[in-house]
Amino acid sequence: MSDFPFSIPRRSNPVAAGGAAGFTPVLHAGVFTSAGQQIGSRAIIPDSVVENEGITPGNGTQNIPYGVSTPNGSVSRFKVSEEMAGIYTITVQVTATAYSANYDHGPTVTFSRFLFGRAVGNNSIPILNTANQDGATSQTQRYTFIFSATTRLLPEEQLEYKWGDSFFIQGSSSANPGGYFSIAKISS
Amino acid sequence: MSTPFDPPRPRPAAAGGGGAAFTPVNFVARFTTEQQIANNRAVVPDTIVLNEGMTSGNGSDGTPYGFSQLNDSINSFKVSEEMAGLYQISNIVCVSRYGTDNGLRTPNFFGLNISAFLVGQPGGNNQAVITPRAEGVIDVNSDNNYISNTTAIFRLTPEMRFQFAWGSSFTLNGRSAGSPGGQISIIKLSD
Repeated sequence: MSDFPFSIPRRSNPVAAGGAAGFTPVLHAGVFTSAGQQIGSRAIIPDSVVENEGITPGNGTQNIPYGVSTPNGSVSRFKVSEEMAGIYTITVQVTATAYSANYDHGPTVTFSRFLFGRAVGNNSIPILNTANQDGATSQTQRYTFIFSATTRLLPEEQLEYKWGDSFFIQGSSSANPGGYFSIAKISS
Repeated sequence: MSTPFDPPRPRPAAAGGGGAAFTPVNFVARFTTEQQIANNRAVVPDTIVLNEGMTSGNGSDGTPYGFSQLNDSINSFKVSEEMAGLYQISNIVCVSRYGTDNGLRTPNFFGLNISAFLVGQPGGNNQAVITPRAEGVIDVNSDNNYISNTTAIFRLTPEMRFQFAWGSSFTLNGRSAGSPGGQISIIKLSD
């Protein structure tokens, strides 16, 4: 919660006697407030986190902190606890121009799920891999791109996400950001 | 409400000792006519197709709950205790340039300005921009159409007011109910 001007109260879970457990909301959202080149195959790291609720404190298996973490610059990780598990929608929206005169593909993203030790292929389950063709952006005109996917995340699973192609993000300030990013649990 | 059908609404199932059920909120509307949209003006669709879950009456500051248009410059969506939760707003419109007389001066971007504030809260002007202005290209030298999308998920707390307006001027290319030029939705996803 770096620049949100007021603290968001979180509704309590109505786990009354004999009743079903309430929904545990999880919401992480950030905005891109500066202009800069985003490099392909690198982590998605917003400038400011505006919402960050429902993240279980502490670390999970492999000693990875729950919630958003960027262990290195190559991928972003969202580790899920037992309480955080559920159906999620991840959304990225950016205003972009071309990375360079000779590279006008525009932004793309790669979302995947990863459960350490699971015997499925390389242990990574693709969720969304987008592709733009040449000419999707230019250096002078601003285009808006939205990427969104919904998936179930299991306990101790990691959502991994990163940029695909390189582009130039057009953020200018907190009042006029160049992009918005959210990981939202929408149901159990 | 010009919706062609009456959507069923789940009833709160606050059974003995159990937790309260989810209260859905859905506002969906479409743009069915061609019109020029002026910068910093309210988003006023031609036809409302879904409008459920709005608490009746006014909130703490006298603003009606649910979708309301306070004036021509901004829209206001006031949230009640029952309506509070995680929301997604999405907007898609087919657009072209605002006018032809001053092509080079025609704004070349389109967007939604979205902010949320809670009256009485300390801290700045009590507003936070929670989505970017979605700037898609409108070609100032042609009548070409472009599709512009905006979407964001965020939390609205009780008595919070969600405000939104167009971020620039453009021509919205709706034709008819059967061939609309866009849709806007404000959907509560979860508590």
